[in-house]
Amino acid sequence: TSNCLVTEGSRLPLVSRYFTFCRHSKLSFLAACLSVSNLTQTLEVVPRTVEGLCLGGTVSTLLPDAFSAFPGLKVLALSLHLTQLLPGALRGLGQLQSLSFFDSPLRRSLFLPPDAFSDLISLQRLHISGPCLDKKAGIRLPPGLQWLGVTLSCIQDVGELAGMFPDLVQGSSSRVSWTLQKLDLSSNWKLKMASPGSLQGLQVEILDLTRTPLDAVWLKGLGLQKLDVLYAQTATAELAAEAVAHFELQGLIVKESKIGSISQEALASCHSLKTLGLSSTGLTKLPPGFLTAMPRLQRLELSGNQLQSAVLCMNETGDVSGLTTLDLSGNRLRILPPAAFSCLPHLRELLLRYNQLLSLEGYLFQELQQLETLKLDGNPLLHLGKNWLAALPALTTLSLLDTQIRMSPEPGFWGAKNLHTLSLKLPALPAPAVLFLPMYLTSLELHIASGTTEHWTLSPAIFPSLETLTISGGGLKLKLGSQNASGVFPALQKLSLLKNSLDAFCSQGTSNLFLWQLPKLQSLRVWGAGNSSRPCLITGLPSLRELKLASLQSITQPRSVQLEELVGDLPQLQALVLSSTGLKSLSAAAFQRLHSLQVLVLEYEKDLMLQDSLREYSPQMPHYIYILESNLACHCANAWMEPWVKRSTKTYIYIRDNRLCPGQDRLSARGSLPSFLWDHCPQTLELKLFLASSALVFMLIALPLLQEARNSWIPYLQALFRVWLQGLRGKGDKGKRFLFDVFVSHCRQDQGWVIEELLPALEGFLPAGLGLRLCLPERDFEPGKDVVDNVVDSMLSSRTTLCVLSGQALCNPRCRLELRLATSLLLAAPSPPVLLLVFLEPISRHQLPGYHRLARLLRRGDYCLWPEEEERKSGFWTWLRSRLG
Amino acid sequence: MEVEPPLYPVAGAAGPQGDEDRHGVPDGPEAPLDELVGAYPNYNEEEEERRYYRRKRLGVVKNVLAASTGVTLTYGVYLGLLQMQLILHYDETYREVKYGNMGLPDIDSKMLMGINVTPIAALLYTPVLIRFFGTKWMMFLAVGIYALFVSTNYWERYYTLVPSAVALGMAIVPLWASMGNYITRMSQKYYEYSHYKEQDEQGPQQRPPRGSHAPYLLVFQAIFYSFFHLSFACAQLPMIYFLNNYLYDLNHTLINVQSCGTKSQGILNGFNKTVLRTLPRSKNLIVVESVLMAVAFLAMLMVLGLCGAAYRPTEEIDLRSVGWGNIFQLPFKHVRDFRLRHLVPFFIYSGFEVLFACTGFALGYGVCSMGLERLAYLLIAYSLGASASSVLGLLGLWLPRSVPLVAGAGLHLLLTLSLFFWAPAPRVLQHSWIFYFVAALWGVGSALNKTGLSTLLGILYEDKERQDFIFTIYHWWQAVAIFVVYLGSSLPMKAKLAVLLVTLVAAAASYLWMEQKLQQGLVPRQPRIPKPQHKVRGYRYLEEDNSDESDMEGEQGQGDCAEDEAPQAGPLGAEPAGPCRKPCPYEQALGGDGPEEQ
Repeated sequence: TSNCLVTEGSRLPLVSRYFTFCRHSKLSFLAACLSVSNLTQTLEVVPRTVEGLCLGGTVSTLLPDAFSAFPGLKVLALSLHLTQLLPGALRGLGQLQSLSFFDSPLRRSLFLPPDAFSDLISLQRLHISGPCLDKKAGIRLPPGLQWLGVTLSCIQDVGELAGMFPDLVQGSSSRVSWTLQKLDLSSNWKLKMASPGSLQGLQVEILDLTRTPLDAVWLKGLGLQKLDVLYAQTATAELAAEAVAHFELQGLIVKESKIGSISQEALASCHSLKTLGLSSTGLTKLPPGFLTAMPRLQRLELSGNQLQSAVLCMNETGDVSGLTTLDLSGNRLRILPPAAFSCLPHLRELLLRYNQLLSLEGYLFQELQQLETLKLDGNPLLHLGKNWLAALPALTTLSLLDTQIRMSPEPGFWGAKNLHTLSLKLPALPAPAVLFLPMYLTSLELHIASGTTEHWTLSPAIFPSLETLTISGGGLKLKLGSQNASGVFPALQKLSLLKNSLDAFCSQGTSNLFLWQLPKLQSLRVWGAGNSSRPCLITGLPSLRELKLASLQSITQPRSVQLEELVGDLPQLQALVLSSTGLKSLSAAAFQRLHSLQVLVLEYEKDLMLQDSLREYSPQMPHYIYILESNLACHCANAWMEPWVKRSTKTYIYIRDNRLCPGQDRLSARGSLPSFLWDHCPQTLELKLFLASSALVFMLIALPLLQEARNSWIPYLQALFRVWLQGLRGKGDKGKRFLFDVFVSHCRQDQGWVIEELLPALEGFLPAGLGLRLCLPERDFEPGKDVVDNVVDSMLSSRTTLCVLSGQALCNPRCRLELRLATSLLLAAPSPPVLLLVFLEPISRHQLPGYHRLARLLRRGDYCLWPEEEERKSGFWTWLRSRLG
Repeated sequence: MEVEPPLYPVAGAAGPQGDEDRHGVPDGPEAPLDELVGAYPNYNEEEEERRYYRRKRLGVVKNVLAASTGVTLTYGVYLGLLQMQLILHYDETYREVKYGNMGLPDIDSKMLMGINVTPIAALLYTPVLIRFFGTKWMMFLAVGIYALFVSTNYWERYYTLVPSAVALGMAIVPLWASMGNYITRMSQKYYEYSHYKEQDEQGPQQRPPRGSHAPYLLVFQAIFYSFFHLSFACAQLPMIYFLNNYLYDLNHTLINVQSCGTKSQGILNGFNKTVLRTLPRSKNLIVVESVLMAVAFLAMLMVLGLCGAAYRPTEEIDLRSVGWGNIFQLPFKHVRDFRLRHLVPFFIYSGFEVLFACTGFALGYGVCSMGLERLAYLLIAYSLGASASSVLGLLGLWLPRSVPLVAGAGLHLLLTLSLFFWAPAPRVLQHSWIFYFVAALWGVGSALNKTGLSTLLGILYEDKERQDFIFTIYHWWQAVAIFVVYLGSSLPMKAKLAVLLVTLVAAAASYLWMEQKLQQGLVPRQPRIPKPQHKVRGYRYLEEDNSDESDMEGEQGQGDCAEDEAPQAGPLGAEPAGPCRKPCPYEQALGGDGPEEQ
């Protein structure tokens, strides 16, 4: 099979692992080719209409017009270990918007000709990650370029960019100054300095220097005309503040750097910031007046520090900050002072995840009138105020995962009615066993502590607007009362069942059916965490579009399942993803209830068998079948796949499988499964040889039987054939003179018939008779001659021999002798006479000698029965006349 | 008184002028013949006759050689294919990859069942088949069924392998019975052709003296069995040239084997489930199978083209004209004969010992210790030993006939006893020569056993009317023995050896007892062979009722027909002896009233 995976943009999330370098779901049609070694050969099978192309493998040189067959290409990512691009390699890619080169970060250099990108007039984004470019490459950049990334390369000085891309620097071209949306220099671990003035005039909105040892202080001298946002890693608060002051930065994001504490001086120079990110910087406390120093600040990220108190708001000053997002996750907050957020009236998002907050009271959020999102995951939260959410009228999203919250049945517990997204962990010890939830939720995530087996009753019996439901952890049993699931969740569209929660929704009888009948459900995701014992048949969901079943196979007791056991009647299903379900074989029967299936993804399924029946079913097969990180079983039952995959036009099948078969010769050059199967599986040649040889053997075996037959009917058949042939050639004995016309052989008992009936009819003159000369033994035999000689001579001198047979005649030795003589004449003589037999009475063919038994069947014209009835006698005479005439 | 010269030349009357042409041929009825052949002055009738019979004798030798070669090739191909397929099918990976869920082990066991169990029914149909088709054609048919089995191995499915195995099982006894019959018959013919003068003197109606063909029989059986035993060596060729390239060596295959030889149980316990290093490509398999198929075809054509008929056509017609019911019953009636009853243990042993050499010894001792890759050489040692020592059967020319048989039995006795105390260590190659030596010695015993039994049967039962029954019984008991071995294949080796030993001792004792009875002059009771009744409507017999038959023919007496119906006692004697007026088929045959064969 080809090593290219083709997908539609809308299906990209299903196979996104293979599109890490070109993940643009806006594109309509993408292809990813892995392990490319011959580019032209690989690209031959890629549809010409792809808009995104990801190539991985080993191709050192990109030849001219390598991609000219793909004029519509918009995204191109090359991870090919390239060393050089020949001029014109990217010709014809006028619509290309994004171009990336990836390589492992070795000291490999990539040679790009100066006009390599000259044809890429629409290029907006250029990313070179891994390979080192020549410092003096002088590559011309397309005019529309907005995003430039040189990452993981060996540049040591920011100034080297000017040599590589002279367009960036003012003065080298006619352009006044180049404006880049983003200049990404992250992960250049040798980048330590920036030559002053080397990027003179360049305007950059975002500069990314994460994971580089470059100090932010160097940036000042670069000569950048504009810099809005800086991502930096190595920075002390002071140095960063200097850069902020210099460029009047709007954003500064420092990550994973040791800042420790921020001095007042540094703070003073940060007044221009709108975004400040200080996550994981080891902050222990914030300087006083932190927020007031940054009046424009809207977004503040302080996650992952060691803050023990969040004293953002000074009670004494009445200052109000414009902050909208505050992230304090991952700190050591235990108790929040009452006025902690009093100065943040515009706050919309407050993240307090994974702190050690024990109690929350309503007054804490007094001022947060606009707060919409509150995340409190990972806090103990043992004590909650009675109306702790009452002060948050705008709250819509609340996350309480990993907490030990105890729910209260009071109506005010969940605050305002606007709350529609709720994430919640159910406590391990359910005293009430009643789940009180806000009624108008649209999204609900429930985590269940392991070991819970209680039945929970839902407090509002109906959730009219719930659309998304996620349940994680096994053992949850919801008492739905008298209603079924569709009554409780009438609007549910998306359901995720994680960590063995599926078992609780499955009937436990002989048939494992999915119990919830949800008519509007569109997406169902099941992740089984690997210890479900029995497969659960997902069926009866009329509008389900997307189904993902993952890790359903038990790790301890793996068992193989059929697709029919997993997926039932889902008429609207379009995308089906099966991952580690233990699926072993795929047959056409499984697809018969999935009429609309378009994409089938099989991941991590071992030893798959694709049944032969799929071939017949192929018109109704899904358009895309991806078999990823799975392997087809090394069975000859899979041998039909290879030619079918190559020929099939409607179904696109991609199989990624590198496993060797057992017993396969590791040294053989062709190591892939299809060639192995081709070599080792029974082919039609074997069937042909079997049929041919056994036919031959059967023919030879039949010889003994024929040998038997040789004694009996074969000589008769020969004789009959000879007589027939002579009949065809006409009478060969025209010239011969016969003494008689007819020799009549009869026995004495039949003499009366001969004299009375036959003689007048044959010897009488026309019209009554035929006027023939008959030879009757009694009348015409030569006296004194031996009887047998007489018979033979008379037969030889007669044109025709007519034997009159009756039961008596057959018993008479003389009659039999005459018949035998006539027969042997017929068999032996070179030109046999005509032999006619007249039966005076019906005679069983078993009483006849062998030859006549056969001849009576084959030469009906020579055998006639004398009829008893008068009216049919004329037919007899007609026959006789025609035979003798 | 002077005789007037005749006016016209009188036939046979020699003129006084004295023709130079006359070569002292006496006057009389020969004279016209003399005129006819007068054109060839050097015609020497005796010389011509001698030449004619020499040609006939050469033809007989050719028949024996062709039949032996054909059967050797067939059996070699069959054994080789069976061995190769069983080894391939034994390999787990091969099965898994190639046949997946087809259940090949099941098919294989059914196949073996078909081959081993079906011959049990052979006693019912073998004589009928042999008489219906004739000896030569029965051989050909059976060889054809062997070829059919080879052919079905191209396409291994349940519906090909199992039916062909059943067919093969049905063909085993007919093949070997007709083969033994054929060889015996050939020796009788050879005697006829080499003693044509005595025959002429005795007159065509007389039978040759008893035991007169025995020397020829010994020679022919020796030839046949030296060929036949070569088939075991031929069967190893696919192993040597093809399969051995794919096999793991003993360190892999015998890794879990704990005990061998007398201590082992069943067939190769603990043998590794995978024996193939790499799977053979199906193209190579096709080539090997095609070679085997071609050899099988060759064998078929050889039997078809080179083997002459065993009987004249008239004889065959006579043989089958005794009535099918009689033919069906006669093998059972022969149980009355104490000689056969005494030989039954030997028949059984004869089946045991071949199978023990090929499975018990070769697998339980040889493969278990030396690995699968040396199986072929072990069996070749057995085969060559047996083939070479089949010539020892000629000792019967000078020694009493019991000597080779008892010598073979004694050799086997010694070997069996020593095998009782031999438990070779697995995976040890130091003493491999012992294995080859034992195999070859066993082969010597086998050859003596086989040649001895076949010649003994040929000598004891001279008349051709019952030879096929006797050989059917012999090979049927062998088939029963093979079936028993198949049933008991999972027994411990000691039990197998014990059974073998008991059977061997019983067989030898019973045989010697029989010889003693015969020496005491005890006359065995043989069933009467009914006279042929011609119901055939072939063109050869144009008359349907024998109108030429006159009452005169009935007066020849009845003694000729049932030569051995010695004591007319018992219920059989009650039935009227019947007017056995016509000459026996045998005499008819000698009369030469049909076209000569060949």
